[in-house]
Amino acid sequence: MLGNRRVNWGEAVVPGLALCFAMAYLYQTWDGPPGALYWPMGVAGVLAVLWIMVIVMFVVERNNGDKEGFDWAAVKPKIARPAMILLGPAAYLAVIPFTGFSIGSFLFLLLLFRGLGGRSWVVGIAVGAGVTLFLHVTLIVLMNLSLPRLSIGGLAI
Amino acid sequence: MAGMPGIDVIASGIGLLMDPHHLMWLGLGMLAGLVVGGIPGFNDTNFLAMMLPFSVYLGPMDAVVFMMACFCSSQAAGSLPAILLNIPGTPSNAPTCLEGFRMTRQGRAGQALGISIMSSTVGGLLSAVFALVLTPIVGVYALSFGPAEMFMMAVFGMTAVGSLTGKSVTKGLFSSALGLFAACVGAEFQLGYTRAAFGFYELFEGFPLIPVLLGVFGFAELFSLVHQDSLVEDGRQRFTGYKPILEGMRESLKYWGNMLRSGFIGVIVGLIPGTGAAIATWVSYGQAKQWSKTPEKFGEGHIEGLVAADACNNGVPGGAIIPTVTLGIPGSGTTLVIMAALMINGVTPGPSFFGEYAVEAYAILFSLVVANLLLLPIGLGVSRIAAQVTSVPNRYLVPIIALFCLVGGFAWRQMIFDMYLVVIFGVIGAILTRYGYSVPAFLLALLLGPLAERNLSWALQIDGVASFRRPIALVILIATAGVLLLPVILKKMVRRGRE
Repeated sequence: MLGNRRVNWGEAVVPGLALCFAMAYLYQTWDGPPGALYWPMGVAGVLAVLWIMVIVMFVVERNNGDKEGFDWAAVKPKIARPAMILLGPAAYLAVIPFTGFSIGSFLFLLLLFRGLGGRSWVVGIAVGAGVTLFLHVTLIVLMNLSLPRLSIGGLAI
Repeated sequence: MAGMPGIDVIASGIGLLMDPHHLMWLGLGMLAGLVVGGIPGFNDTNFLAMMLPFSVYLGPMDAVVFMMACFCSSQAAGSLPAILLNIPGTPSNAPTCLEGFRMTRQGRAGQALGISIMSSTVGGLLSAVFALVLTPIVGVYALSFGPAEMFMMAVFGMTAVGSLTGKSVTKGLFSSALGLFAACVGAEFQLGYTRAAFGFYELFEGFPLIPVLLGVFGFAELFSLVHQDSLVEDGRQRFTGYKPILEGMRESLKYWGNMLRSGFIGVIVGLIPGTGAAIATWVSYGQAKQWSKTPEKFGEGHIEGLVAADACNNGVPGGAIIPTVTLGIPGSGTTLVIMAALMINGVTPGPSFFGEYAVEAYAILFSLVVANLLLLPIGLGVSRIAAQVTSVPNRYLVPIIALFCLVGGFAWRQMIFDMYLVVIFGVIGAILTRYGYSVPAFLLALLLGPLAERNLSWALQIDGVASFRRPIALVILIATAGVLLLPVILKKMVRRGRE
């Protein structure tokens, strides 16, 4: 059906995400009052037209025969560090309700420093402790933000 | 002109401000603003709202002078993390990230900081002069802005998207539509129906702006920074001393036309209640691109884009204070807090304010001039110190930026949920950038979406389509069409001239 065209799966990522979001949005609002949905439906109509244009212009592209095979070995080293940036904060957000903001932040910094190639534990501990102390004083002591805290012997850190 | 105060009243206002006590609070306000503006997610409105109870002890003059100085310097200070770390200090610094951080990566951080300081100073001074001269006259016209005009303003802002779309117009427009659709999440303003909050009460008011901003700019950039050793790209030199900053200042003055136009846009948009600097800077950035002879360089560390963003950013306070003091209608969140500080002290801003408190009013307006003049030397010193961040290796900087983005996301609404949003929008921003979609177009649409929806609905209910035939709405419509057509016409004229 595509003739001498092929699907560029990389270019399909954004339209794919948009489609998933639109489907979830419509599912959530299908029983909503019409008066509240005129504007979103108008915007969705415009989005649909542009979605088709993106699919036609970028996702389904002319096959010029220069497509290279997927090489996992070449991609693997490029993924490790971005994965750390994604998983590190996810783990940090999962643990700070238990460890408190200050200990959680210190561990987050220390482990990411090491993960991204920081060789010296001493520098890592010093920088991590310094940044954590600065944030603790600024955000918790001075601005009194309600960040999660861990109580140790009557001291909330 | 009838009702205009005499020169003696203005001189008395200046004299009142020169009181050492008031000047001390002005200086403290500037320092507080530099710190507050430099902390991502913690904007001047939050800080000044916290300071509101203390304004009772300060008295109206000291409180308002402190707040005005803080307002001015925080706008300028927000550019520091935007230029050096790609983290907008305030939402209005988002366009600064596009050009400023690119310049930092090219080893031109000093020049970028110099341009930022000079543009902020000139834009701020222009707005202060406007506020001084035009406050008693222009403030009245701000009341003429009804829903139809506000909707047209949003449409005018959207035309800036067209010039921000990068290499592919289709992808740019798609990014805008996606942003507009994302803006449809949350409670509908008339019926109160919650549209697609996906079960999260944190999304009942839609996607919060600051976590989204920190995600698509600051956090998204980490995915590329993590592959490099330093903020400054390989083979580029880091700057030392004041020379590059001073060179940047000098360089920015070559774009004086752009600077004045952008400052003027800041004043005008700031003047309209309910808009604010976050919208103004995008409009200004888009205009600079459309007027530029080298629009293709925008997004790659172009001086014109940086000048436009920062001159406009500091142009807003002068505009925003005009309806606040003349009509009692605050132009932004910060001016709302300033108005509250006056009212707590028994002073009611409004049409009678200039009649009853003419000397104090001019002292407040003149504090804008002094604050912007002080911005030059203070900004120079602070930039020199802040720029040391470019010499920190990325293996240490990246985790610190990640933590600052997460904490900045939390600081606004104090919800852990917003920290997750920073990560999610960081991934979305990285994907959009990776495949050539326009992050600015997405953001601008997200920002303008609720404004456009609300005002379109009101305009249609009030007077139907006839609302859009009002003179100001028509003028904005013509300006919008002109904005779209002018670059094409100019290009043709240049080509003919060369031939």
